[in-house]
Amino acid sequence: MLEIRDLHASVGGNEILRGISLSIRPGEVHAIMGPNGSGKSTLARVLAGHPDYEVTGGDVTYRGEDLLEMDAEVRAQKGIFLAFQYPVEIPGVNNSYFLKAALNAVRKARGEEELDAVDFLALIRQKAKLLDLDTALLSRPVNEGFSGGEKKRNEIFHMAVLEPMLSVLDETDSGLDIDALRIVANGVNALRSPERASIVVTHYQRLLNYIVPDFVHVLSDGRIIRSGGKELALELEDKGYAWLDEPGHA
Amino acid sequence: MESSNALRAFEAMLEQAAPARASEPGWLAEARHAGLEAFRLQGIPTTGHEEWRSTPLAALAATAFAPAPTSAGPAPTAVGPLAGLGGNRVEIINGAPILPDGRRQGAGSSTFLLSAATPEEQAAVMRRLGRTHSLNSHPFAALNLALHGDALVIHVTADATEPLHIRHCALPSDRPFATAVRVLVVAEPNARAALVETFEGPAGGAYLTNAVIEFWLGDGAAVEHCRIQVEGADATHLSLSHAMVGRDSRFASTNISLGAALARYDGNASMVGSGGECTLNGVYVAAGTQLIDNHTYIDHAVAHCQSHELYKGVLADRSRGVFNGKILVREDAQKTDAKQTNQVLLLSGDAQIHTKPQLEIFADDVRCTHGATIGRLDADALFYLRARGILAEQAHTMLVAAFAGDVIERIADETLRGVVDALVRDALRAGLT
Repeated sequence: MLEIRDLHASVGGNEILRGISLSIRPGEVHAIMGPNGSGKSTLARVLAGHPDYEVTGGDVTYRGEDLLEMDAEVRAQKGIFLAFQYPVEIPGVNNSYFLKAALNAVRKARGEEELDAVDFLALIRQKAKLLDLDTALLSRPVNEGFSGGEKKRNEIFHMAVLEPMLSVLDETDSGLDIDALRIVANGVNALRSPERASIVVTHYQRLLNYIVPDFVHVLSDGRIIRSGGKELALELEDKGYAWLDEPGHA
Repeated sequence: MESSNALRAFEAMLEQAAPARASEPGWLAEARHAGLEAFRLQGIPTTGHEEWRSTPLAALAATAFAPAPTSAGPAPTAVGPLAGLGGNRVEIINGAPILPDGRRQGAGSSTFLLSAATPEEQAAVMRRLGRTHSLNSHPFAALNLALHGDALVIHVTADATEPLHIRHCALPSDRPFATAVRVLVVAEPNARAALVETFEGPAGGAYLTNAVIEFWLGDGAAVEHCRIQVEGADATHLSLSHAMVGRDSRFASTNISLGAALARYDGNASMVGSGGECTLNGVYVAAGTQLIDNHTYIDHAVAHCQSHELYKGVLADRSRGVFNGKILVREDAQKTDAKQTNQVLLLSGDAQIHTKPQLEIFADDVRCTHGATIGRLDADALFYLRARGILAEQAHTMLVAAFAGDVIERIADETLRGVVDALVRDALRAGLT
């Protein structure tokens, strides 16, 4: 589904990704872990097409197409979803109005008919319930005045409505209490299917108790220094990131 | 005073109108004379004049305007969002109010032409027409007093709940012409009224709109005013509103300025009774080489009054915007609470905004705040929308409309709010592409 080969990327002239290679097949969940500043979030933003990040080398193929050639909105229309680490507050743009525009843009790109108001309302009510999202948040401006937990839940709510093929969760767990974490994980797990894949970027192992990954990759200084199964996450939790840098483990 | 084509044209119009005005009452002739004297004294201002320094009128001065053609035909049927306005309407065609028999009785109000006023009404008009502001403060308002045709008077006596739409409509003409329109609104104590003015004109062809509207609010009265300026692309729009806000009365005005090559609006309010409240809000959208100039002036003359101002501008291409917000708090106006905000979005590196708060405070126990922000679209918000699949262009429009929406959502009347929202979105789409 996603083939990343020797990806290099920089922001403001600083190289952050220094040669990432990663292969993701349909049905898989990959966790990307690593210390702060290792490039985890950069990888997520580069995949979503953030204009501040410059790809300086390598290539990325998504379902047979050159991902790096696509604008951010085209990537989203083709099924890539980034759950933001810091969801943006957008005063004056109503949450459900925005989501309807997004959903219809995605549906149009898929060759599906746009949803009418009634069907859309039924859909978002159902998804809001799944994520235990206060329906009052649907009629408020996007993320404006939402608590940290509400913002993260709203991201997963958007994801549940848009039903992406490849979801990229950028530290969605940070700042969530255990109940919210469980709800967010349920939302992600509900989308798991043999056709879809996920990349879960996280600093902590905690989230991975609820979203069990097939693969865990450890990023350090812009490179994957270690890959393994879900047990690698537990090992990291036990020993921290420092042991990876010790001789004999890298 | 140096002569110019426009000055000569205005003098010629006055001469031409003189016979028809011979029958006007003496007080009106005197008022017109005072207006003319004040205009002659001030002339057409140059950019050397402090109040007009960002508003070049050289092109206007050079134009030999013809008098507005009369009986040029009926106004075209409104199309687009404007068609959504209610049917309680008075049309002013090329500056001439159309009112059969000179009078219309509505629920809670009567609307009449000054020429059809009863002696009692005339006396009430005499005390108010041209008396909200100094004739030396605005040359075109002074000229308007000299030049205007039959004034339209709206006398609000009770709850005039259905909004009245005053439709200023310029018709196509093969040569540049000038109109001068005067409207007077008198709200009796505790009366309520809602008023919508639209300024419409042909897509092409130069003309000058010179419109003055004066409001007198009695104690406890409430007036909602919205003006929608969608003049033709070659038009020059010069207008002034002035509200006298009485004790415990409330005046709220929203100025939507989207059209004309050059639009200058002076929105004024005098707080003359304690407990009064006024709101002067506005949205302006300019593209191409348009210039939109908004001057506001709030005169806090007495204590315990509030004023609120929120202006939002969107400037694309090589357009220019001016916002000058003057607040005068006189010595007696203790406990004044005045707030002024002007926010501007620049969509192009070539667009310009001149924004200037002008606070003159002579009382010591007051709260006056002002703020101006000039910015570009929030790149993070733009990426957020695009990352959810929304096309860049649509994302732009969505964010800009949200920016302007902050003002539009404060319009009380739901139908009007919908019309304004659609008009602004249309203007943004046109300006952004």
